[in-house]
Amino acid sequence: MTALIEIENLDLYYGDFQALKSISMDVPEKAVTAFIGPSGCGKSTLLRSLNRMNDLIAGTRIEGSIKIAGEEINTSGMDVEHLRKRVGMVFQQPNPFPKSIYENVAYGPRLYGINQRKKLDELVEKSLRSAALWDEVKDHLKRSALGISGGQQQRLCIARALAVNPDVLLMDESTSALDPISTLKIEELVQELKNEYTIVMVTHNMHQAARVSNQTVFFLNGEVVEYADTETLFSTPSDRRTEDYISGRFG
Amino acid sequence: MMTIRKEFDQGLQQMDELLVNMGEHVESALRNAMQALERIDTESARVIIAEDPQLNALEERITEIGAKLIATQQPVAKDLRRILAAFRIASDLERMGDLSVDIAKVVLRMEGQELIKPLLDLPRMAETALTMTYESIQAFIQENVDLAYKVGKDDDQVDALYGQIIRELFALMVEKPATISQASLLSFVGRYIERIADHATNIGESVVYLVTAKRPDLNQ
Repeated sequence: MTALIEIENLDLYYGDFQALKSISMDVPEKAVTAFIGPSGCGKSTLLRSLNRMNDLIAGTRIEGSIKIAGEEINTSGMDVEHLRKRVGMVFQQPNPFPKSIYENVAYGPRLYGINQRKKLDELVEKSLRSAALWDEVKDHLKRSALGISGGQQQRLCIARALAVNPDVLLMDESTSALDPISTLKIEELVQELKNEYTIVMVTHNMHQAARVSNQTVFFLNGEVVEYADTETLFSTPSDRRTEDYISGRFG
Repeated sequence: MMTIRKEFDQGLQQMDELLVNMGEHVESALRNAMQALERIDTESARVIIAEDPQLNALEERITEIGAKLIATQQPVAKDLRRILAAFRIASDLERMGDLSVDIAKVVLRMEGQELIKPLLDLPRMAETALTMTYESIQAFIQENVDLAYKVGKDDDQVDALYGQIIRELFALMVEKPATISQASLLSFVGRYIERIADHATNIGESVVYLVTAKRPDLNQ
């Protein structure tokens, strides 16, 4: 598998606190990579580094290199808006705009200058289909996005991210606020999406990582303890701390 | 280990204890069956047969606890292997119990007969199989791979004795055709003990799987 994201010797500090210590890893293209670990282990921090969301937190200092498709993203010359178009993100709580379902999905493409009605209609349908939401909402695209269920809102947020045609989709605990059925729908969707996109997910639900991901990375205290294909990590982890964590002995 | 896994660890420990109980049941069934054979004691043989359902009940209990742990605790890695290994071991022990019952049934069929020859090698085989049974369960409880491999080695002795016994009994049958009926029953007994030792070896394999996640073939 080709690496789409290459991370090398990444250190990240929040003020005096070092949240990530010398992280080096490759994230393969068109696959699902899961980050697991106890609270405060650095998994979300690393995820947010991939589209420079940490820029928004004052006092953050970052050293080392992150390349996406060969391009260094930690440079002052990097167009962060463009980066976030290529590296979309879905959060823990569904956060649709207080607009219609249609406008939520059309928002990004409009921002990038697509205004033709026909083109937008096509993009909205394609994105909603990719997010496995089209059949449920196609008859009321003009209704408010706030009126649909939490699980549907989360898939709408995925559709919104897909509408700008990203390479990478970051999912930060994206099912932890959802009921089990909605969670399974998103997990199934992720299986579909990995054929087209590179997906990196942070999850507290180890069994979700085991079900959904191709690779799993276990973090502890800002370091990568183990990075292996998911089956190996959950059946024969090589580090004792990984075994203790996935077996529920701490965390 | 911290208390957050209390229920889980209790369940695993219960399974361990039940496996030890099963092992003890098998050992006493085999030991008593061999004594009954040497004395052609049908009364003891009937007791062994009557007690076999207890062993089956222990196996069912292990399956229930393991299924409950899988359903409620979602075990992974070594925890999952421990439960899978316990299922296999319980099923091996249940078969070992059945084979001891088969020996007891041979005793019933020999009712009223005299032994055609003094039994020497069959009891030796049974002794080795008993040691293997005990050590295979100990290997599981202690997660002792070396002991598991020793069980596999002991099985070679049992196989060698079995070959010797069969040759001897065949010679006897050729020499004195009147012994054929009992000699074939005794060779069945040899076969049952040899199978018991194979199951003990399987338990050794399950122990190696538990500890290393690899499945060796100790039954070579």
